[in-house]
Amino acid sequence: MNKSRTRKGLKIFGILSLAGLGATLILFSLNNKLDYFYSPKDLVGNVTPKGNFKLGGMVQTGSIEIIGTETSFILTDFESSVKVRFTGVTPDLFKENSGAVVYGYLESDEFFALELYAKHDENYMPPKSTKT
Amino acid sequence: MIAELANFLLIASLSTFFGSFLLGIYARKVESSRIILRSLFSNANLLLLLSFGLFVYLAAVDDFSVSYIASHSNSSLPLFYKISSIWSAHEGSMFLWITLLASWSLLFIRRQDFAEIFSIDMTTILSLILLLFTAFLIFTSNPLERILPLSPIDGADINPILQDPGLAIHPPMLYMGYVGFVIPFIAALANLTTESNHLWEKSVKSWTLAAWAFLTAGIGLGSAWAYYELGWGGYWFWDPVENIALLPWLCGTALVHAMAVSSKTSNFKTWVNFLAILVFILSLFGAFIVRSGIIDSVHTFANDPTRGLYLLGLISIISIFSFTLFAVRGAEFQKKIIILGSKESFISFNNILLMTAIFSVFLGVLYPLIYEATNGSKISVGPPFYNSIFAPMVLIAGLFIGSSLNAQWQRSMRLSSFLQPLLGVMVVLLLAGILHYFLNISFSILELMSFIAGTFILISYILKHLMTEFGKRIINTGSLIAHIGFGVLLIGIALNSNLSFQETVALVPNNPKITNKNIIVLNEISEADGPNFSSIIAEVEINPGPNAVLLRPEKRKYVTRGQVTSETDIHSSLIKDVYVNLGELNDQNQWVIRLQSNYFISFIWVGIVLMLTGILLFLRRVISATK
Repeated sequence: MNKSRTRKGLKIFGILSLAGLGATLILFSLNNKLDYFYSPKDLVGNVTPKGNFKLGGMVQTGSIEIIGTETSFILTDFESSVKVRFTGVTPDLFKENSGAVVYGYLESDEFFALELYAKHDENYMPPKSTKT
Repeated sequence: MIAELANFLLIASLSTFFGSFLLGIYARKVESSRIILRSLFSNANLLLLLSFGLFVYLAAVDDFSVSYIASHSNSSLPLFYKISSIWSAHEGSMFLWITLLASWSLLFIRRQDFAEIFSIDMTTILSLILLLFTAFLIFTSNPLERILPLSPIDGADINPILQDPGLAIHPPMLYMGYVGFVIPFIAALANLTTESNHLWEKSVKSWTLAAWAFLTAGIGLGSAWAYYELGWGGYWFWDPVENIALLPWLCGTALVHAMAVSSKTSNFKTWVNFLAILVFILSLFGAFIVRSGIIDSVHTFANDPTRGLYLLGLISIISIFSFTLFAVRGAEFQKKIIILGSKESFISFNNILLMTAIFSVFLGVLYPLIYEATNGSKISVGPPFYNSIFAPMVLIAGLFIGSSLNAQWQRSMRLSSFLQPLLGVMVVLLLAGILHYFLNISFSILELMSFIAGTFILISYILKHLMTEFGKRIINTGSLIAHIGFGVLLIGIALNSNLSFQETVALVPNNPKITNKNIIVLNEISEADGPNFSSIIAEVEINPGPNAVLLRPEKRKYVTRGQVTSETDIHSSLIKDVYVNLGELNDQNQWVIRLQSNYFISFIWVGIVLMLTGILLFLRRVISATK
C-alpha cells in the first residue's frame, strides 16, 4: 500500500516536472521570438531598439512617394513621426490617413520596412483616423 | 413588416428556449413532461431558423430599412452576394453562428430517446447555451434593427474583397465546424450530470467527425481565399484570427483520435470527456477573440467592449460550470494500463503532441495581452515562434504516425514490425540526399523537419498499403487517405517555404526587365469597365519564348465605395505557381509589378482535400457501423 503510494507520487512528480520543463522551453522560445510593437513616439529620445520590430501608426497625408519599386511615406502617431521606406507592392488598403503596420529595422532615423500591412476592420475598410 | 415579424420570432425563440431550459430541469423528475420538452425545444429552434430565413429574404429583396442590410448590401449586387453579405460583418455573422447551432441541435435532439435522463440533460444544457447566445444577439447585436422613418434608398454595398465565392462559403463552413462541437460537448456534460455508464461517445462519434470535417473545410477554404483573393501570396500567416480557428481544430483532432481508443478499449474514458468539453470551449474562445477585438491582429473584426465583456461573461459561465462538473464527477478509475507499442500508446503520444500544440498556440495568442499587462510594452508573436514550435512537433508526430502502422490494440509491437518503418527512414534519407546533392536544394532545419515528417508518413502508408493489398486489408481507407493527405501537406509546406521567391520591378510598356531568374515584359496597359467597377489591366509576359507565361493582373476601382482592389493573376501548375500583382504607378510613370514564384502550392491544396476526403470516408464508415 505504502509502496504503491510512493510510486504514484513519483509518477505524478515525474509527469509534472516534464510538463513544467516543456512549458518553460515554450516560454523561453516565446521570449526569444517575439516582436516588439512600437509607436513613432516611442522611438524619440529612447534607446533605439536593435533588430527587427513592428511599428504602427497613421500614414501622413501627402507623404506617399513612389520611386522605382520603393515606396516611402511618413508614419505618424500625431506626436512624432518616422520616415518609412518599403520596396515592393503596397497592399490595396494602404492609403493616406489610414492605419498601417510595418515590420523592419531603424537605421539613421529612417525605418526600413521588410513587410508592410494595412489594417482593415470588420468591413475590410482601412480604419480612418479619429483625430483630425 | 417582415422585419418586425423576424424580430418577433427571434424574441419568441428566446423565451421558448428559456421555457425549455426550465422544463428540462423539471422533466428530470416528471416523466410525463418529457414529450412536451421535446416539442418545445424543437419549436424554439424552428422559430430561430424561421427568423433567420426571413432575414435572408429581407436581404434578398433589398429591404434597406433594416440598418444592417443597408450598410452591408446593395441593390446592384447579384443575389448570391446579397445573401452572403449577411455574414460579412458582426451582427449577421453572429446570427448565422446561432442559426447553425440551432440546426445542429435540432437534427441531433430529434434522434434522441427522451425516455432517458441523459437526453433530457442534453436538451437542458443546449437550451441554456442557445438561450444565452440568443440573448447576446438580441441585446447587444441585433441584426434586425431598423432605420425608420427615413430609410436609405440604396445600400452601402458589400466590400469588393468580399465579393468572392470563397467568402460566401468559407464563414458558414467554419461556423458549422465551430458550433458542431457543441454535440460532443453536451453529451460529455450530460454523461457527467447523469453519471451514467452510457456509451455516450459512441453516439456522438459521427457528429464529432462531421464537425471536424466542416472545420477542416472551413480553414482550408479560408486559406485558399487568402491566397487567391487577398493577393498576399501566402496561405497561412499565423495571425491571431487564424490561430483561434486552429485551436478547436487541433483539439478536435485529438478528440477524434482519443475516441478511437475509448471505443475499442476501456481506456481514455475520462480523457475523452475532458477533450469533448475543451473543444467547444476553444470554439467559444475563438468567437470571443474575434468579436471583442481584444488582440491586435491585421484583421480587426470588431472593437466593441460591451460585446466583448458580455461574451467573456458567457464563456466564463459555460467553462466554469463545465470544468467544475468535470472536476467533481469526472474522476474515474482507469482500470487498464497502456502497453507501450500498442495502438493506444501511439494515440497517447498523438494527444500529448496535440495538447502541447494547443497550449503553445493559446499562449502565443494571449501572450501579447499578458506581456502588456506585466511589462507595459506592446509585442506581437509571429511566425518565427510558431514555426519553431510546430516543426519539431510535426517531425515527432510524423515519425510516430509512420511507425504506428503495424501497431495493434492492447498489444505490444513485435520487433519485426519495425523493419518496415526502418525501410521508410532509409527511403526518406535517400530522397533528402538526392534533393540536396543533385537538385541543390538545401533545407533549413525547420523545413527539413517538415519534409522528413511528410515523406516518412507518405512512404510508410504506401509501403503498408502495398504489403497488405494482397492479404487482408488492415488499415481503413479513410485513415489511409487522411494521413497521406497530411504527409502531402507537410511536404508542400516544406518545399514551398524553401523554394518560393519574389521579385518586384518597375516597368514601362514594351521594355523588358531581366531579373536573376526571369525576364519580365509589360506588354500593354488597358482600361475596361465592369458592372460596378472600372479597371486597369496589365498584360505581363514572363520569359518570352516558347515557354512564355501570359498573365493579366488587374486593379479595380469600385464605384460605390471608391475602394481599390487588386486582382492577382495566377498561372498554376503542379510544381509552380506564377503569381503576378499589379501595384501602383510610380512617380516616374512606371508600373510597379510583383512577380512571385510559389512552389508546390498545389501540394498544400491536394493535402487538405485528401485529409477532408479521408475524414468523410471514415465518417461514412462510422455511420454505417452504428446503423
